[in-house]
Amino acid sequence: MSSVNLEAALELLRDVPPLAPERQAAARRRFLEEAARLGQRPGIGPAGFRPAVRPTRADALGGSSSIGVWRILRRGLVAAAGILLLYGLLAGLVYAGQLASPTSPLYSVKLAWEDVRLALTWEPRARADLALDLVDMRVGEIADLAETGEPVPPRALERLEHLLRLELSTAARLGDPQMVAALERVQERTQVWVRTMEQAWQDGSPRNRESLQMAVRLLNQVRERARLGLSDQDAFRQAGGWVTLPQPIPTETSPLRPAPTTPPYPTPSSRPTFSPIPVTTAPAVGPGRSPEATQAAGSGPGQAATPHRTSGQAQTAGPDQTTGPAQTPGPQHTSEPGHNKNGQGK
Amino acid sequence: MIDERMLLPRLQALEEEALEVVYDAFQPPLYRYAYRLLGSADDAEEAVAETFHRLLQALDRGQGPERHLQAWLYRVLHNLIVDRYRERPAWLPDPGESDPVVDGLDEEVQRRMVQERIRLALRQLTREQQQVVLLKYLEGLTNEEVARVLGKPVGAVKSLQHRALAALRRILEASSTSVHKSRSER
Repeated sequence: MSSVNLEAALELLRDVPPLAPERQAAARRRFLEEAARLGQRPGIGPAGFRPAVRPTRADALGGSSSIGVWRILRRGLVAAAGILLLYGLLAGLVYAGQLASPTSPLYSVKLAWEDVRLALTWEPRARADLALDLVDMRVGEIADLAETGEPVPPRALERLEHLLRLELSTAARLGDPQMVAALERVQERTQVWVRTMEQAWQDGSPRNRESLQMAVRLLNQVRERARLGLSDQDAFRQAGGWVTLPQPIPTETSPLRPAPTTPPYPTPSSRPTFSPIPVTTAPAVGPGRSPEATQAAGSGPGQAATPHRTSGQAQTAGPDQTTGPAQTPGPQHTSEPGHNKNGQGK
Repeated sequence: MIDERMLLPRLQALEEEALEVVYDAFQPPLYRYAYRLLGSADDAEEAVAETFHRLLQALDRGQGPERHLQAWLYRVLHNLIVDRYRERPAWLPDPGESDPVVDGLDEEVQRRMVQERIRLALRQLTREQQQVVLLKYLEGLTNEEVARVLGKPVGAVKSLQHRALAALRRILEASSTSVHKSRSER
């Protein structure tokens, strides 16, 4: 069996039929009209403040001497310069912190800035959306560290848990329809995040497997809490979003099962057998746009020896294992689009 | 190349010209990105429109992108696409059941089915892996440009690209094996 020709596969997605010009123009018009409506709201600018015109001290003094005015101006300039300097320093620190990874000393700056953003987001739905975005970034950071072999520090997992708790507690304060939508988003995103951890497990260093297992356990618990919230919204609200989970969690995945110590992949005798896909070194392998692509298409350290995975499903026992009738190792993907009812990928 | 640093303050002021520049610059690539993942022009159009709507909402609240506008737009769009997967699951015939039928279908339908399989495979990648594959190999962005979109260093993009291709290959090969195995069993 020949190896998959990635370049040819991706080429099939290249052509995108353009939108009809009138539809495109209509969408653009709607966008600009909405922006105009927002911009015309009286006194409300993006920062929520209306520019104020305050009387100066000179005015209060009856507009007396130019010296008094100059003193006031000078004080104002000094104060402004100090504020600008402080702002510049803080902005620089925050800017530098944005790229900080969990192992960086500036990571706490990054998290502090996120806390400020969260605190300034009053509207619960927006706050829930922001929290989900931040969880997405945390998951990416953990996966990046795991894949590059750097140790995942405990604070990365702590932060992940903090944000997930915040997400659920915020969802618990929403009205019924919004809460349902928020919990469904949580369910869907946790599936995606668990897949991210799976791939980090496959591609990363063994030293981080315990951290990845903990992260997957946490995500599965959150997913289960979201499911419970959807089935009993009142109880979910009463618990502030952090409902007590039944033990063990009645899902295909048990977060308490210890990680395997031997290769996490199922033995050939226990799974449908597939002959190892030979990795060709033919020129057609990979999209061929860069040497990295060719290298990526070549035999990686684990490719020949690794039993395949069906699309999206961890038939390998990844950072978590399953119990239950399905006996599907790895995080569950029961309701995922694109999978048939047997849970097998396509 | 748009200078996002110059543009963001004007965007935050909801300046019309800045909004036009952003829309005209980013709507086409965002639409292509969405279409490649969703396979439907209507869904892609809707997802992109919702992305820009959320941009306006965020700007109105004084939030939204602070540095990386393009990365923000792609992230919001991608999350909308993920939500859309849930609402409208893709349909593919089970290879074991439909192979005799597939062989009889016309070329266009078969091509669409293959495209959908590739989309499903792409969706199994992480968000960043999907973005690297689509932006680099289908949009033709350089590593530096992809790094700007993802908000990552160029080196991280290169290793991400390597992992993305390896993962995509594994998934497609597994999918291909399933099809062949089902056919051989018939």
